[in-house]
Amino acid sequence: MKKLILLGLSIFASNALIMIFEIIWSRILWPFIGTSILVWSSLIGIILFFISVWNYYGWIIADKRPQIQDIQKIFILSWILVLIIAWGKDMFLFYLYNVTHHILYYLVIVSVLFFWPVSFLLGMVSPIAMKLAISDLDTVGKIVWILNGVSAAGAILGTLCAWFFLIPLFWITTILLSLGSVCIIMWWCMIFIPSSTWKRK
Amino acid sequence: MFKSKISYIFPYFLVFISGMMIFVLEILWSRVIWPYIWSSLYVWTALITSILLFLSVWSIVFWSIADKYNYHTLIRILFFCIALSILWIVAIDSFLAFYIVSFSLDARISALLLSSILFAPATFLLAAVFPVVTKKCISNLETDGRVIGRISMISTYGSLLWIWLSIFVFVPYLGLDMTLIAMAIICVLISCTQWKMYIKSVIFILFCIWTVLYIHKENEFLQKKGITTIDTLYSRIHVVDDRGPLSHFRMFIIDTRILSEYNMKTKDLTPYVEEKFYIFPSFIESFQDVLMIWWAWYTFPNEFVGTFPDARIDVVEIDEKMKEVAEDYFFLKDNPNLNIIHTDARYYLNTSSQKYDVILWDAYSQLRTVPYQLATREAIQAKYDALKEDGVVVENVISSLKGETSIYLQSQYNMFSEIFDEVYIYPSHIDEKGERVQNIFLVALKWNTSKGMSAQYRHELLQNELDFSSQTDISLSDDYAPIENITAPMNKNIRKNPINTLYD
Repeated sequence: MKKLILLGLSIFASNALIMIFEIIWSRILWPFIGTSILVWSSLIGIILFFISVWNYYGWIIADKRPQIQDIQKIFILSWILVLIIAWGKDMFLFYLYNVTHHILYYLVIVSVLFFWPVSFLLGMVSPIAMKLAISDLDTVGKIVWILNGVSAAGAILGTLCAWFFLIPLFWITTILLSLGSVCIIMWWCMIFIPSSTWKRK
Repeated sequence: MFKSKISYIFPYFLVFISGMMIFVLEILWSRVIWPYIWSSLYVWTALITSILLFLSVWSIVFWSIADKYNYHTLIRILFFCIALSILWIVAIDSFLAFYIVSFSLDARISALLLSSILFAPATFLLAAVFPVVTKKCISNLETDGRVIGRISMISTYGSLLWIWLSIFVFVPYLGLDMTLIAMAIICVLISCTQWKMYIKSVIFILFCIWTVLYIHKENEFLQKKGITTIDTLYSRIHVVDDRGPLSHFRMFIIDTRILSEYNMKTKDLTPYVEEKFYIFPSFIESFQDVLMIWWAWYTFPNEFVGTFPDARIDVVEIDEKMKEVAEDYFFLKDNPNLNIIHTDARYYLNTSSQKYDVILWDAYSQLRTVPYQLATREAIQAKYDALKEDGVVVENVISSLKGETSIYLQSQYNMFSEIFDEVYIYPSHIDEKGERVQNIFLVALKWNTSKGMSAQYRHELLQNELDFSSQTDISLSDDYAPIENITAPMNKNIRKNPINTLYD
């Protein structure tokens, strides 16, 4: 049960972080590229494309080698990447804005460089955690749908939190730094649990 | 062989279709609710929350159903119910939206109620397709991850493809209702594949009869009322011909806002806010290059090129379809001095090297909500940089002069004052309390009046010139701009919908 709660927590946190990051990401880009329908559809398209990629490869990795250490590594790497984005976003985004001469190229380049790594890493938490949680075919439906529900709940909280709490109250840089802190807290939550607890039957 | 291939691919096809429909519904959802709840923040939050909430609750509930019942039975019933739930949206959206909004509830509650009643059934049912299909496809624990991954990926590709199709094809060419009806038809067809032949035929024929009757009735009703409805990439436009025995007015309505009214007998533009922009010649001796931001219906730029034949005007309007509407219904004609650019205003300012004598600015995404990237210090700096040496900006700020509804004006005044040499405020109406929300014209000069222009040049304006001082130190930047929260108090009391009065 303790294992399921921790896995649920990691799925909840990763999905909340992805949603907040996605909202903040669009907010960061608007001043550069505006909010035309081309921009919106390209942004949604790029985000969904990345999501579909990690959906597939995340599950393949999870099939091969589901380990709790992977989730720990993901959170620590995400923290580092979010820190880099928080401190370097203005400089890099301005530089790339000046060297690229088309909105679509700019969107693709900045998304690949900044959005993709974080969303890819955090997006892999759910497949690995779900794989660790599934122990037999009889309960696969139950486990997958409960964890799906938890993942959607995380996304809801992330969305509400971003719009009603974070954006009105904090600077974007501060919000990014807080996202990094949540990654560190999640890593810390899991590091003290012995790895034998996580072995799959 | 062929049949077994089809039966292997079919579940994935169902996930693809359901993935697509959830996102198409999300986009249509915002389009249905947007005209009634004038805040992008509330609409999107209600929308995302409701969708995710329904998905999560339903996912948790549905696993047991997926385990218990036969796959074919579930698919048959599910898709038939999805078709009905989509038709439910088509049938009652305007009525329900108007009914809920008429209670003048908090905008957040109205948005959530609308989202829940209109879209909950369809979202609930669409979310159930994923567990049913996954349950069917998983055969052993070694490859369960791979199968779930494949299903998720196909579902996401469905969303991706149909988001683009709905934005670029369905909504602009078919309109909202027809897109929903097309979705319902697809669902009925899928459901029919699982029914017996005679049941299939009856269901399909009944459905087709209903669709034809609905479309016929709707078209007849709109023609009778003189309403032409056009869906664009950004909004729903209504052009309404109001014919009386002696008069003929043509109204231009975006979503539910009357933006312009044209007297078809005299061909005069009924004076609305636009006329107030003519204060700018008092601040500049001569001008040649003018930039106008957001004039969807183009009556003002059209009139402007006639009034100032020597001036060259660039109009930046994000929605391309607006130009066609203006040409068809509001007598917009090609003019060598009128250049229309379809892009985001901030993007245009960032990328254009053109310098202007005058910038006229009236950019609102909703009735009283400004796109955040146009309201920040950086955006104001971009306006300053786009001006020539003696340039002038005239901006329409919808706000009150005092109270909680004046925060947006105060923030703009603060930032303009820091960047421009002189800033003046001209309210449309002077009220003692200063709490009336109105069109307030902010004039910012890139030069100091002491250089040449004195009060005598703007003698006529002095009676309306306000000795304004900001009560707060709020300043918005690209890094911090809670614009939706700042403008929310202004949208509290505007819930009347002119379209519904036309429908009465």
